[in-house]
Amino acid sequence: MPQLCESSTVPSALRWPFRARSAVRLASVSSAILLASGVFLALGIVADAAWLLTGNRAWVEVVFRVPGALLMALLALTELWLSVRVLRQYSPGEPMRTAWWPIAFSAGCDLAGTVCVQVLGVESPLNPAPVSAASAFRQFGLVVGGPCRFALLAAGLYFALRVYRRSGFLGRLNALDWAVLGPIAVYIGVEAGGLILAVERGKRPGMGEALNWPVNPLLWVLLVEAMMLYRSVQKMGPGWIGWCWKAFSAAVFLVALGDIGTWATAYGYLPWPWAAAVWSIWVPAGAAFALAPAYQLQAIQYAYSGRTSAADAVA
Amino acid sequence: MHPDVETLVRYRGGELTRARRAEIAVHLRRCDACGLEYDRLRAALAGEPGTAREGASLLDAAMLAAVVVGIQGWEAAAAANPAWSGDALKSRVAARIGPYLGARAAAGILQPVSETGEDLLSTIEPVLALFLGARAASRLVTSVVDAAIVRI
Repeated sequence: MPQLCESSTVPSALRWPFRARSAVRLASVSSAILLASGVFLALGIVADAAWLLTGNRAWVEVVFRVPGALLMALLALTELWLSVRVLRQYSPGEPMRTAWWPIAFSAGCDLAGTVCVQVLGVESPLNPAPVSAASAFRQFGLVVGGPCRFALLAAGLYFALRVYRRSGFLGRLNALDWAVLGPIAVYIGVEAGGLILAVERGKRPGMGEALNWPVNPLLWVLLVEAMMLYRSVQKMGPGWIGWCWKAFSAAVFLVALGDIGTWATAYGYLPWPWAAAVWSIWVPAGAAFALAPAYQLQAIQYAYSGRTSAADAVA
Repeated sequence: MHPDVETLVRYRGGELTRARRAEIAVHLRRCDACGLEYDRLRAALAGEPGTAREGASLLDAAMLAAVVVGIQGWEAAAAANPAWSGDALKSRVAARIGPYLGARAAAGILQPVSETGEDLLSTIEPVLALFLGARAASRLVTSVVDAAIVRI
């Protein structure tokens, strides 16, 4: 029910058209995210092809080191900006506000991690810091953009799932989902066992390495949450609210895929031409993370203007 | 807890219980914003200029009054015209909230709503508020009432 003290500050006659225009601007932001990612991926394919034809790896390195790093940082910045805007749409005490707090913080960690790893942690024309500091920046970025970010995101998605449960639309994982999650859980368990064994036999890991150990278990938790969100959205049917959580699901799935690809490359299971494709996964993953709050904000703005289609909002 | 528009309209019409009336009266004396809004509402319903200073707020109140009159008219007509209640009403509301929640969710939420539709708003608004926030959900519900009930 409308709360008069909240709604009486700005006349609704003035607010509604403004909200409709905001929704249109947000639709442009989500289109721009998709377009920029699409253009970069096309550029990546051209660079890959040039590398395969000429044998000169510089083609790929130039594309991923400068425009790639800039795009990733821009996507992370957009994700943070939009997440904070979504957060501000909810009043204190509202369940979705509880979910968007950690999501906004995870977006902040993503931005910090991306800047440290992609810009300050590499030898690049974009890097203003001394080369000697690159390793420290990279290590810090991996921790902030890895376990810190994933833990916060897992907390945010958990609170979102609680909202779905409260509404009665919480989806359940099916046999196919467990068929995907089961082997990954087994692999993580085996890996953890190996680590424990190595430590018992006297291995002394560095702090950076130890801090990154929770990445895989956290990614597994995120995958479970992402799949549950996807099933919940499926249960509700296609709607604007669902787009946001579908985008989060896709983003988590892509990050997991990128992580598996990185692991396969490191252990020699993925030959070089295919390994380059793994680099490209992080761009659509970053785009999906940025699109999620954009879609949520769009749904809220449409609700303010009372529209039932994107075309209505433009009209 | 601030009273909502529907409660204020019922308060003005003397439709509330004695205890609830007393509670609202105390709140209106203590809360300036609600008091001001009640004055605007009263003025708009009575067709008077009222105490509001902002023209836009008066417009808002006038629109609200039109919605209230529309609801009252609909309630009276619903008994005589079955097309205005039951499945027809649910289908119109589902068409408005379906694009937000999803068609299956909209149908699921509206299923337990009574044939007369009297529990419609109290059923859909909490679910919309969970996902969109209370402010956006309240705006959406107002537009749903306007499009699916008042303008029919």
